[in-house]
This record gives sequence, structure tokens and C-alpha cells, in this order.
Amino acid sequence: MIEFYNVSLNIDGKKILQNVSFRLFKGEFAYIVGPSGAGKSTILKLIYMDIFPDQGMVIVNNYSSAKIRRHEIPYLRRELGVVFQDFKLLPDRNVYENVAFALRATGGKPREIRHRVVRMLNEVNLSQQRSMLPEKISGGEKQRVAIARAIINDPFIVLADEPTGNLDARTSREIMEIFERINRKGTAILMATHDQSLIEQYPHRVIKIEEGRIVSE
Amino acid sequence: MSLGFSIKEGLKGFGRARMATFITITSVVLALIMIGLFILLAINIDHWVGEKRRHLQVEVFLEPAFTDLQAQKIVAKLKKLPEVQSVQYISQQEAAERFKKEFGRDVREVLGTNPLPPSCIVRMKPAYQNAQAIARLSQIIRTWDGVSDVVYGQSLLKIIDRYVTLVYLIIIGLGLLLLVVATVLIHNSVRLIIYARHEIIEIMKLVGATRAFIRRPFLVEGILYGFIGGAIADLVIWILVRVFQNWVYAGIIQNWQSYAIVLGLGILIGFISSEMSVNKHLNRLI
Repeated sequence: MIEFYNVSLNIDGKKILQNVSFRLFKGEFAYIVGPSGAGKSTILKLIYMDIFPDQGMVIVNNYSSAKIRRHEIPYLRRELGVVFQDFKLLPDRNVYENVAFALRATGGKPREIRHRVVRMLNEVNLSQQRSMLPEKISGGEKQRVAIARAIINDPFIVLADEPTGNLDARTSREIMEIFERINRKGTAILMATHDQSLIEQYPHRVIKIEEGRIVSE
Repeated sequence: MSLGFSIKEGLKGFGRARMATFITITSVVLALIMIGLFILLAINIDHWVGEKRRHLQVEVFLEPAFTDLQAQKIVAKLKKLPEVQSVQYISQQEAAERFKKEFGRDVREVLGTNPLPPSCIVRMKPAYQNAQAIARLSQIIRTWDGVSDVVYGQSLLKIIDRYVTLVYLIIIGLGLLLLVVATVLIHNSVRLIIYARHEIIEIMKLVGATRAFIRRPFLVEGILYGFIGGAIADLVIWILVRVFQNWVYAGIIQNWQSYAIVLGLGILIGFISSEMSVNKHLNRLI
């Protein structure tokens, strides 16, 4: 379902990735680990096709980086969920609207949006905070809003870029529990992180990357 | 996909990034005021030229010995010409009365006789109100039996014909320049607004909104800017015209079409410039 074939990428003459190949299977949970600047975020961006490889190929479900057309990219992204370290919430909309936004922006029907957002907020324990603006809620709650937004379209995979990077240890565990729960329901998770303790607490496949190369799996 | 969402988002855009909104509307208003005043100037010049042309008349002098009956034949012949709009016959008697009205003395008393010939005042149809057509017609009429002379405002006509095309070309050129300036001005302001909202664009892209869907709220917003800018510009122009009419020159003319053009141009420029800005921004981001 996700395959990297000898992917190389240079940006401004700098080698970001070199001959990266791996596969991620349906429902799998995997970490991408490595120091800052190793190319972790780049791998995620290649999956949601924000950038394209100079050499090699990335295949995501039925889409190939070599063949995908620009107008198909939004439809690929509807099959993915993306979560970031800095949450990327809209500051002028409340929790409910931030989650609903993913459905509205993809043309959901009002009744269906209401139904799904309420269910999703229950799932991440945010029903009480539904009318609050992002600035009024804690970091952990913000990340839960971001997760709810990422999974509301029922993606087959959630890509998480250092999702616990801005959170304390206890809140990080809460977030990890949510990812575990999502994964148990059959959604694959690919998480970029450098938090070794989390990996030890929640052991899964680890893809280690250094200076743009996979050094161990 | 829901158009309601696009319109709602477009309207919401007004509340956010207030400074950018203010700058955009101000530039739309300023650009459209310039264009609107320019349109009014063009209308007034066109009106003035039209008036001058309309009042152009060809005077056909007949032999003094002509009887009214003979003259009427010439009048009928003139009326049959395709270039002629109307013919007014002035008999010797009427000519003397006009002289008296104009100079205060009766020509018959001064000279003991009336030397003023009967004449016809010929007005041309609008399509023939130019130097070339009038000269050609005059030449034809001059050859007719009983016509002693044909006179018209040759010099004024030549000046109008020579300079009007130039003035119109300048007006069209400046008008186009103003349009380009206005579009660039608004384009830059819309870019400010889009930049202020790159966050929302990024999130829309991430959740899989299509290009068309991301663009739509900005297009709605651009059209709204154009509409509001156009309406304010129309109001300012209307006030300026009233002030000008009251204090400087009452004869200035205006019509509703010029106001409609300003509003229409506002909407069009708003649409085009936001379309350009959004495309540019999305091309960079997607």
C-alpha cells in the first residue's frame, strides 16, 4: 500500500534522501526515527505528494509519484490523514469547526458532517471543548483536535510528524494511546519521531534513517 | 461541492485580515474613481463634439431673382439627398427680418432694396457630419442651377476632424493604462490577503480540497471587493459631479451607464486579479 523504490531527492543541491526503499503494509504501525534533518519529514511529504522524488518512485495505494496528475493529488490526500507537531489548527475557529473543516473542504453534506464530527469528538474525548477556540485549550487537546481532523475522512493511514514533540510525557502517552486505538481499528500509522522512550513504551517496527539513508529496520 | 461553503468562507474573509481588506478596498476605490472620472470626461468630450457636429449647417444661397416657387423645387431636391437630415428655407423676406433682428436696422431702409438672397439651411444626418462628406455635398450642390454659393463652417469642422480621432485614441490609451494599473494594484492587495491566509490554504490542501474548491472562496471575496469598491467609487464620483455642477460648471453631463461600467469593472477586476493571485499562490504550494 505504501512503497518507496530507490527514492532519491536533492533540494538546492543538497542530498536529502538517497536510495530509500521500504514498504508499509495495510494496518501496520511504524516509526521513522533519526536525528533532525535526517529526512523524516521529507518521507512523509513524499507520501502525501507535497514533493516528488528526483529518482525512484513512491506508490501510495493506486497512485504513483511517477504518474499522478496534479488534479488527482487532492483525492490521494483524502485517503490519508496528516498530523503535525505544531497542530496546524485554524485559530479563528472552534474545536468543532476545526474538525468539521476537513469534511466541509471536501464537500461533505451538512447532516453527515454534524453526525461524524460529534462521533469523532467523542472518540478523542473533546465533546466538552467543542465550542472552545484553540487558544483556550491545552497542547494535548489541540493535538487531539488535529487527530480527529486527520481521521474524520476514514483514512487508511495516518502520517504523524513528531506529534508529541510539543507535549509533556504524560500528554504524549495520552496521544500515543489514541494512535494505538486508531491502529487497532485497522488504520496504519507512520510516525516520525526522535522520542526513544515512546518507542520503547509502544514498540512497533522502526525505520531508522540517517543522512538521507535507511540505516536499519 | 457546496457553493454555500465557498460563499460563507469568502464572506468570512472580510472579518479576517482587516488591514489587508482595508488596503484592498481602498485601492479598488481609488482606481475605480480614476476610471469613473475618466469615463465622465470621455462622455463629456464626446457630447461636446457631437453637439458641435449637430450644429454644423450648410447654407445654400440661391439666386436673388428666384421666386419662392422656384426655391421650393431646390428645397425638395435637397431633401431627397441621402446625406440630408432637414432643410429650412429662408425667403428674402425672412432674411431681411433676421438681418434686422441681428443688426437692429432694416436693410431695405438702408439700401432702398433687399439684396439678401433666399437661402436654405441644410442639416446633415449624423453619419455625414464630417468635413469630407460636407465638402463633397457642397461641391454637388454648387453645380445646381439657381445656386449662387454654398457656405459652411469649414475651419471648425477641419479642427474637429483632425483632433477628435487623436483625442479619442488618447482617451482609449489612457483608459486601458488605468485599467492595467487598477488590476495590478488590486492584484497586489489580493496577494496580501491570500498571504495572510496561507494557513487555511495549506490545511485545505492537506485535507484534500481540490484546487477549484480552494480557489472559490477567494474568487467570491475578490468579486465582493470589486463590488464594494465599485459602489463606494460610484458614490464618490456622484458626489464629486454634484459638487462640480454646483460650484464650477452646471452643464457637465453624466449617465447611469457610466456608473454601471464602474461597478461592472470593479467586479471584473476583482475577479480577474483574485483569480491571478490565487493561481499563482496555489501553483507555488501544490
